[in-house]
Amino acid sequence: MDLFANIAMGMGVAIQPVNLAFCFIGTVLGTLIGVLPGIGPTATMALLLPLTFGLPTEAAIIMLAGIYYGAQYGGSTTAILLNLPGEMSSVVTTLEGHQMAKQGRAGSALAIAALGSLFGGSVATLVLAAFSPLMTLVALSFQAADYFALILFGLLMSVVLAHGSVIKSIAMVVAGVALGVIGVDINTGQFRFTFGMMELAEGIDFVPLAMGLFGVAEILRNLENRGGASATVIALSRLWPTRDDVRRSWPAVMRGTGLGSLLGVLPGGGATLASFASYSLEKKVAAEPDRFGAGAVEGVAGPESANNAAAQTSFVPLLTLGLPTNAVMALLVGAFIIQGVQPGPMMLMQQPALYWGLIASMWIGNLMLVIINLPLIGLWVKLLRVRYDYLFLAILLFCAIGAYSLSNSGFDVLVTVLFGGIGYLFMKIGCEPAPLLLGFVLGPMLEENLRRALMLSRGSLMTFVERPISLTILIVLAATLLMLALPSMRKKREATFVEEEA
Amino acid sequence: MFLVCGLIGIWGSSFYPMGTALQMGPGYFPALVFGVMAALGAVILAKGLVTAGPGIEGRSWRPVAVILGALTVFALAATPLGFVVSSAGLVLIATAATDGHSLTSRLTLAGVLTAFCWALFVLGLGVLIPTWPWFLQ
Amino acid sequence: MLMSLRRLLAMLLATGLALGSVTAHAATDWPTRNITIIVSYSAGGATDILARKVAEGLTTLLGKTVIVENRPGAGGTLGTTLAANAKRDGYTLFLGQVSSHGIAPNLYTTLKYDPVKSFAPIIYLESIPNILVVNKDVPVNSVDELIKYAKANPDKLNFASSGIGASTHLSGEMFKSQAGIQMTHIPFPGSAQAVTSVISGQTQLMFDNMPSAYQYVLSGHLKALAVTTPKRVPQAPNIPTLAEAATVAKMPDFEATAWFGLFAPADTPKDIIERINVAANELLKKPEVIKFMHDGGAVPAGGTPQDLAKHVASELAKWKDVIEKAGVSKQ
Repeated sequence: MDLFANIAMGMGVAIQPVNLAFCFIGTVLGTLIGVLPGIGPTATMALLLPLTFGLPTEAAIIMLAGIYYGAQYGGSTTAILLNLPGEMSSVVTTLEGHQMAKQGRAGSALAIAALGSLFGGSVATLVLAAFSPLMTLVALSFQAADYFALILFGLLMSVVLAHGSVIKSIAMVVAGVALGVIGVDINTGQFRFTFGMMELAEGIDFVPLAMGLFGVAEILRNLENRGGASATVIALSRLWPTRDDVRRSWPAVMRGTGLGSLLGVLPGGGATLASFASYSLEKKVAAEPDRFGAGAVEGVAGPESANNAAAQTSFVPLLTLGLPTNAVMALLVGAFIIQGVQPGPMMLMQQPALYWGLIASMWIGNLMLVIINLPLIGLWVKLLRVRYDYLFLAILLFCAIGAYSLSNSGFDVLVTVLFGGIGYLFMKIGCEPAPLLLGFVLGPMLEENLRRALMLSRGSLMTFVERPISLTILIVLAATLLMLALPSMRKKREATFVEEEA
Repeated sequence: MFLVCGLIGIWGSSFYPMGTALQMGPGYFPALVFGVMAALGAVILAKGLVTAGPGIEGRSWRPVAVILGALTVFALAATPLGFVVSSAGLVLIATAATDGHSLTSRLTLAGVLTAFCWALFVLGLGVLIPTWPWFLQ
Repeated sequence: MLMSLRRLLAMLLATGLALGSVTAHAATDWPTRNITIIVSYSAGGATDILARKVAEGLTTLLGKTVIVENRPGAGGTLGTTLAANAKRDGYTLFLGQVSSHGIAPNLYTTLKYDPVKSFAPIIYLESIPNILVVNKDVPVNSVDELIKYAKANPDKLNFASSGIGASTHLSGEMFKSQAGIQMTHIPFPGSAQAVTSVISGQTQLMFDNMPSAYQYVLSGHLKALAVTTPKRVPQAPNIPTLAEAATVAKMPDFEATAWFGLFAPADTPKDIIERINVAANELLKKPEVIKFMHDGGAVPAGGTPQDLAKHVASELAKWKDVIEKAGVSKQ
């Protein structure tokens, strides 16, 4: 078959020593920056872009791509160990992963995350190789009204992210959406809620917000409970997943991979929705949903594989049409152009070696990541035994530097301070920050697509039911709401609610 | 619990006027969002009034003030005074959050962490942050 | 008197030496350390790629490393403001473009820089034509047909842009008013999303920067109707200019390009400006740089600092007019 011939050709390119070496450099670097809070792939790739001038095209692109998916990988490490998410997809990982770490199952969580990621990444790469043109069509058929429906669905489902009061978690989602409003309104160019600060014109950055709500707030809580249970339990950490963990994980990994491969193609929210949709799904299909929030391994396995699968399939629109789906992809477009290659519909024909070489390198890169990371798990777990007195200082300093590096100014550090305080307060009043972050990320997209859909339909609300994709999603949405409202469901929810209050 | 709900109520509704103050197109969506938020705040408040629960436990404000203060110092000092001063300052202040550190250990920690992070971030990853205060450059 | 004579002499000497050989040691010892070019957009974008190419070339010609510093934010005005307030010692330069020195000053009332008074122009680097593209299923094949179609189907067409106040938006507004047709403007947060919407048929047309859109014309996803330059573009000689193509509505002076120029903060020493100008002119004559610009759909420029000053003045006037006619509200 053609596909295999192409993949063979790609492998031929990818296993050239130069390309292997740069793939390795990229994935190691990616892991490193993923682990460091605040330093994201976008910033690193921007810094490294000039260094790629002198490299052969394949090596340059393979290395940059390696940084991207390597960072996805490293990000889950920090999320699990320190409750510090660097991006939305790792926010979901913190939910169960950090709980597992607290119970001394950090090694197990990390290993499951690594293996789930490998599986998700590899399968999605195969999907990418085989179905690119088809998936491009799917991506192009989503219009503003459909996005609106999908995002609305995502937001309402986010209630399951939290395991406490339903109304509080809805309030948190809404608060997140409200925060997302800050910045330039893209439809009119109007500044909103910027209080005259130019730094706020582009809105609040995700990283200081997440570092404040999760990282700093977590430090504050730990300092308060110092000498308490958490520190000693972590010391019992075991390195490898139990047979039970594996048994629970693999179906979650399969589902996560499927979801991630599909949603990753969608520009913008794709990867974000993937990891958290997988979490919601796992919680729904679980036999005992009560375990969620208390270190359920499926809650790590599913989202991690979804997230990595989405990271691979988000290359689809870039490779087939030259359309970047996120900031990192936009940077890759720049790297291609610097190398004299215009990514787009002509690339497959003009540069088949580059195209297939990149795809093949993703497999090799994913494998490398597991090989690099599995031995590191022991090291990470040891790291948790460092006295918290010392550890929190390093985390704090990393956060400060990470926030500073976003725009080379102290402003984002101040934002971290503000949300650190707010996050601590939320913790005290029993509000969980995860739904807020989801609202924050999806809110602006919700508004943008709602208004765009209405502009395109000249103000007619019918557009949401006339388009088949949006109609389908809205029907599913209504059905789910109805199910939630059913008395039996409500009783069950209230039961768990009361349990937690007591 | 009353305090909790009070906080949420204030937190929810304090945003509300800002939502309605903006009338035109760009204000529509925020107004809607803040409206929903205020309504939810009210519901939570009402629920809280009916079912009195436990209050907030464990108020120890020292770590909170010290940690947030240390970060603020870093934020303000980084650009004019450079990495070395602001990083050492952050560590020196933050160590005051716990009792376990003598002055020597605080100074050692500040030195070691600053050197390590400088090598990693400024030298290794090329983060654009001045190393020394502006008047030494 | 003596002082100023000596300074004049030194300046002449410096200029002479610079003209003779840029790498030779001039009278002033500039540059003694790295030079920074501020780019007010993120890495990987059009402005950034050009800046890196220029930085690479100037590094060899000036003998000191030239670094690109990305300072994105506030729609590009953050970096511009920083550059305007940078030290006037020749070690900070700015890669200005149609937005910073053409559109933004007419759109924002709160800018903390003046495009003319805060900057010393150095050299006009290149211009990138905009190209009018329509979705392949829209039943028009020329600008005239498009105008007729728009008149027969009032308020049915949507044109996409890469954001409020972008040259892609204002080109559309300019076209609307000159052709006397009705279209709805749909802004997107970036060029990629905008062109995606035209390809998928969500919107029907857009004026996009040539390099990003032209490949979709070649691949058959989009139809190209016209370019927005006074002359045809060498990379695509079969696409007419708007002035040629529009016969049902006259638009002889339709020109909307994305252009780039190198600036320094105002009051940077004249001899330094002169040296950079000479080096950059030399750079723009290198076959490798010409090929790079050509591949990117751009037309290399060049010339004296005064040429760039004139260009800025005419752009400021043109966009002021467009923004007023289009009724875009100022911020």
